[in-house]
Amino acid sequence: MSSRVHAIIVASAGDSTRSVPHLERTLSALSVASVAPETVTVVVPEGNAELLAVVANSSLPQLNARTLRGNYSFVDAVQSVTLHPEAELVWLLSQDSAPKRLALGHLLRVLETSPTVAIAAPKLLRWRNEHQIVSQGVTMTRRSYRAVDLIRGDFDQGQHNDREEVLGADIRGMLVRRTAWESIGGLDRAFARADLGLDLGFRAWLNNWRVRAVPTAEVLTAGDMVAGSADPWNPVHARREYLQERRARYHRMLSYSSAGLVPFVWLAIIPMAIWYTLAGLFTKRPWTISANWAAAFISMFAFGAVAASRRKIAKSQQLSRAHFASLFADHQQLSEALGSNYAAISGPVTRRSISFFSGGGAWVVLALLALSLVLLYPLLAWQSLAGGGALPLGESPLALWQSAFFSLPGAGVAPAVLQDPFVLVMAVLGTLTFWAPNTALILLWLLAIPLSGFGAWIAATRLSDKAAVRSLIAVMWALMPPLLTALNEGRVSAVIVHLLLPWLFYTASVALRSWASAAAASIIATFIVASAPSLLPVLIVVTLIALVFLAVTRNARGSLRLLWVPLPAILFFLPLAVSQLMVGNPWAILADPGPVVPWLAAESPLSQLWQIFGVAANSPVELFGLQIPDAAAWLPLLAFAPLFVFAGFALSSRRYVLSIGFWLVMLLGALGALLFPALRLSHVGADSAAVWFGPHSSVMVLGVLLAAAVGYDAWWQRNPLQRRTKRKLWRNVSAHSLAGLAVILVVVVSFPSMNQVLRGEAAVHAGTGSTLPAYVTASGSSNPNLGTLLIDPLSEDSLATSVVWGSTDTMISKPSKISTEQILNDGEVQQAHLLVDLIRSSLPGSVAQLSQEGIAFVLLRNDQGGVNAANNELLLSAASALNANPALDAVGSTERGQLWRVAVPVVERAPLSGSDVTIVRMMWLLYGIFGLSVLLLALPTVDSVRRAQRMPRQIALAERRP
Amino acid sequence: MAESVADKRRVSSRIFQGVGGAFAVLLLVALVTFLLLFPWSGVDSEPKSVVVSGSASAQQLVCPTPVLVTGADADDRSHLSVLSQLSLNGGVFGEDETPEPRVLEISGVDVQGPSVFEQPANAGGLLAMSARADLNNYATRGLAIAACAEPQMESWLIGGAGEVGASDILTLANPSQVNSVVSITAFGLEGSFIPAAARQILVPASTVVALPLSSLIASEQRPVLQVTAELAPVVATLQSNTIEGLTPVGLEWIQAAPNPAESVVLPGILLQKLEDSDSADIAVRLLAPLASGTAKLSLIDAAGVIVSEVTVPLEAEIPIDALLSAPGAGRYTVVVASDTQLLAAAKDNWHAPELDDYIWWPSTPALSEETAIAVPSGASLNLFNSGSVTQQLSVNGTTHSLEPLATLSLTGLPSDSVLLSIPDAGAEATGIYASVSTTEAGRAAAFGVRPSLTQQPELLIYPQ
Repeated sequence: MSSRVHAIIVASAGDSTRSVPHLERTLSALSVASVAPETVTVVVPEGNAELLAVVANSSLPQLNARTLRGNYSFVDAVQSVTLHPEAELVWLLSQDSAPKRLALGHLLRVLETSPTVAIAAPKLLRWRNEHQIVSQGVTMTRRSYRAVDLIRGDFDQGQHNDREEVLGADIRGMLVRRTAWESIGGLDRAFARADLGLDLGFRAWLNNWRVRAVPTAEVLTAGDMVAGSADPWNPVHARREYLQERRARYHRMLSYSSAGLVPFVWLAIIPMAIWYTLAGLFTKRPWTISANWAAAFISMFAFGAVAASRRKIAKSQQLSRAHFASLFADHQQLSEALGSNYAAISGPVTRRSISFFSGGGAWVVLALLALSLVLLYPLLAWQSLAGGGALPLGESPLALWQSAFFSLPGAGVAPAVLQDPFVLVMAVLGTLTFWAPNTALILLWLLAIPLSGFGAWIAATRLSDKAAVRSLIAVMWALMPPLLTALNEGRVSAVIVHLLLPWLFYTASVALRSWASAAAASIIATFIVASAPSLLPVLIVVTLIALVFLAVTRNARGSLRLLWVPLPAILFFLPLAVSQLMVGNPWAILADPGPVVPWLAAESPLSQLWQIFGVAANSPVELFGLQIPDAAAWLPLLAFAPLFVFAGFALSSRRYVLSIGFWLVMLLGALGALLFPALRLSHVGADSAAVWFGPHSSVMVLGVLLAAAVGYDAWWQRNPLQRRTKRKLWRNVSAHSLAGLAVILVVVVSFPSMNQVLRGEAAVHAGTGSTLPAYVTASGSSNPNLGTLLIDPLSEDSLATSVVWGSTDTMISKPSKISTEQILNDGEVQQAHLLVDLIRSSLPGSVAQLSQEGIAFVLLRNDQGGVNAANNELLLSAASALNANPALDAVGSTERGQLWRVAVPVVERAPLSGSDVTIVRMMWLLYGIFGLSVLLLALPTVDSVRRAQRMPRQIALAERRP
Repeated sequence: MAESVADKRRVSSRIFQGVGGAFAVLLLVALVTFLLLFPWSGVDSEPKSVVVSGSASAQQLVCPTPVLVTGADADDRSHLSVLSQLSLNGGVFGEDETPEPRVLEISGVDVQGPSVFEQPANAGGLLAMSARADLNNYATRGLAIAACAEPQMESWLIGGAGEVGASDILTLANPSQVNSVVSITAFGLEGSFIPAAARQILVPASTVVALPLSSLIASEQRPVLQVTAELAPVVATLQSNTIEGLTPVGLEWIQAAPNPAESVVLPGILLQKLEDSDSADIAVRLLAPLASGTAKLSLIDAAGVIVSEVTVPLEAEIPIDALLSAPGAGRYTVVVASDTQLLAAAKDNWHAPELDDYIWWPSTPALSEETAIAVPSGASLNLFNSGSVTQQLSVNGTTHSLEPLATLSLTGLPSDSVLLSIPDAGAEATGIYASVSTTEAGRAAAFGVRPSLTQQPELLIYPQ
């Protein structure tokens, strides 16, 4: 009986540490089988002495070796073997397919007893774990030809042994009737490895044969990727495996579909590739994207292979697929197959509950909310923020999104200007309260303190499971000077950075182990850097340090995910960076976006020291508005001493490597707060503005607090198994006392900054929602294409001029490209001459020209106010000329200056040019796709959550263990 | 064996921990300290700007209003009447004919007002005119000279008094064809205030409005006025005359001072030494209109030697008088340097056995290039070099060398227009200042020299 079986074993060169022992075991399994094949042909690579030696040393009778050159596929190898003339059955094996003793016997029995069965497929078990099923039958969806493993990964308890008829199976171990083999044309070489068995089975069914799974026939497989699917437990092969599967599926679609549908199927491949790209991102498998596209293009243009497959099917087809429709995968089977992926995530759930409510987090945030409402309650009645660096966001979020890439800030022939990525932050913020975007800034101010505390509390969960440590960090972070200074000074960017930094730490600290975290960190990092571009070098340096550390500790796994964190931020800054480099202004890349607030850094060392901690003071005496003698101005710095004691103690703790990292962050923050304010890059009128130190102070303070959290956690040892000794009691009491002292001191030092809004001493104040006189808004000038020319006399012989489009100047109306520009373009020079004509001559010509450029109002401002000897004469003479101009109607004095209305018909400003519109569309498309990709990657899935639950919430725990 | 390996590992870990920790802390402290002590100078960028040159402008000079007096009409004591017309001199430098003047009306007075001389733009030639009044009658006694001046939107007048005995009159001349609205802010002992009668004063086109100073600021001893015009510029002049008892003692025209600045120069002050005094004194009136500060006053003699220095505190908006003493009579220059913007003028009493007069020495702006000056007959042109290098000046083609800080007085100049040419002497030459003064027995007068405006000044524009 056994003489009829010709077994073909395909071996490959590959990794000899696997191929040699696997082939040995396979041959040895055959030699002890209850029923042995009559002929055994082993296909080995030509010149591979090791494999040939294995064959030579085998005790199997009728064993011969067939050598093949080069890299051959399983199909090539099988087709190269000339079947024994008397062989009635072909047994397909690979080097890692070791059949159990009774396997062939069970397979033969099925074929003998069922003459309509062409193929008998064994149950494949895992090489090193014989109780786990690798594969037991394969099917596919009826319309989309998606391959579905009927059973995969389950532990074998005989529960699936009742399944007999299958559409196909894994090719390894298949016993094929020779007559059927020849009538259906053998294997199809279009399927290099994956789904060969499925294709063979499908064609057998079409040729009026049946395919049976034989669960009692067991074959062990190692997943050497010679045939069949790779070892699902080995992630190294995942990309290759995915490529094979995807290729096989596209090929099936083109080969199995009816002829009339083929063109449509062909056209559908690209949309499918896009869909699977998105799916790959959403399922946190970005490595599938390239494989997916490669498979799509290979399949689309493999016309010959498709034609050959279709010919083979046409030649052998006797039945329609309706005859075996029940064997196609149904919805339940598909769901089960997808669900089995989750089963691959094994291991116990190690993550404890975050205990936000029971751990006091909620109380801390509520207390901070109450404090914020007390300190900032006047904001509840404000229509919008004004003063300092705060301007309205505009009337609709649509306008914010429309200005996302380009704006037209100038009048006349002024070109379109590239926007800052900060616009996207403002657009997102404005969209949160889409009915009134200005409300978003008010809410941001009101919620900044509690939200900062919330973020810090969450961030602290990465470092400690102790409620007191988390609460300490939350309270301190929410009351730290960088935030309070930013709130008082109207620094929107600095507030956003302070809010987001803890979240960046929370996500980036686990970016190594999760794509979702890496993507979330990259989004947060993009928002942070968009708000404070001077943090981009800091972000890059921190990433590089982390990568070097990983390289030194030979822990390169996850480096790609870490590298991803700064990537979106860099990409979003690329156009602006290129644009600034092209005009020879590289430093300007680091300029603060948004409204320019004239500010220069303090010069005295003590003031600069305060600056590091986030306190803006040009003289130590001015600190916090307190009258501190110069000699004692350093004393308040001692308020931070307890935190530094904790941070220093962290260096002696078991998590000292992490602590050193936090000290380096501290160092980078401190250096940033000292160095970047020396960049005086932006200008408004004749005034310069240095880069604001606040974001760097926040980084520095974050480093201090994180190190302090580690120190506090380590100082306060809580081990219920140990007896409470006196020494330990003293240690814990001292830890809590120091933490309490730290809170009290920081609250005392921050107190004068906390109530500045209450005292009316903050730069930020209530706004009306517009920076222009109410008359302009009331006159229907909300049309964004009508402008108001602003004239600001600065001295007797100098003035600043700008144009406000629509009803108000906004947070985004002056891109940093404009505020850092040092060379005027022709349009601006022309405008300057026009302006001089306007304020020195009463002839209507200049007004007529302005009206052609969209200027509907002229506002003469005196921001310096009062009896200003410097600019008064120019102010008066300009007013005199404007009053005498017959083309202007004097509206009169307003709260924002003297206003004139252009009395001649005004032509709306020209829109973006055609080429600019094309560029904007391209950028929308590119950044839209990229942004969506990052977002999909960041969204949590059931899979990613299950994985996360199996990892500890805290980081550097290995360090922590003794 | 295993324990010793573990121990070694623990020890090496501890060493790494200690070294790493110490390195992190030291790096932080060292770098921060270094940067605090040696801060990075950073990157400075200049705001984008463009200088727009002024176009040629017409010269328009308004001469002082004839000397006015109140109380001449017994029926209406507040009625203004003209005491005397003026004598004018000057013209367009290099041209024989003086342009025909236009005469303004004086509101409420039926006599001819001040003359307005005009030179069209691009007509060539610098126009300069000055006026002289010499009175000795029951109401006014003294000598006054003044340059005919360009109208301005804002004028600062330092001098005069609103107290008993002073009968100063403020004249506001509007030479334009549109009405002007003038507001006056006064600075006195209580700081700045806007007198009730000084809000929105309508000055009709081609008209002079005259206001008794006492009606604006009664009992102010050291007033300073800021005259602000809207719609059209005006020439504001304070006619100062004082009566002691029943005797008039002096007449002066106080003209607009340059805008407040941190450095102010009062050139060519002629001081007289009284017989019963060891020194020649002069009172300098100072006002810091914006912010408090301190001012350092230096009295420099004609040779450029500082003979007296005094530092005085300045309270914002409150005028003070500072006294400077010179060792003897002679020509001096007062230089005031301050940490805040200020205004200054000096009052010098001029005595003679039978006649007393006083001079308000004005501060003057720095001159450059070419300036036409109308020097009244018998008056001297006083030039001061505030720079640190010797300047070569040309007056009507005659070159004069002026040492640093020295004052040069030129007399015997023609009474028509004189041309002062100042070559560009580089950055170290900070400026030439000039005044014109005249003294006769018991009578004295002076005025400051302003640059000739044939072009509108350049404007520095900062587009945003």
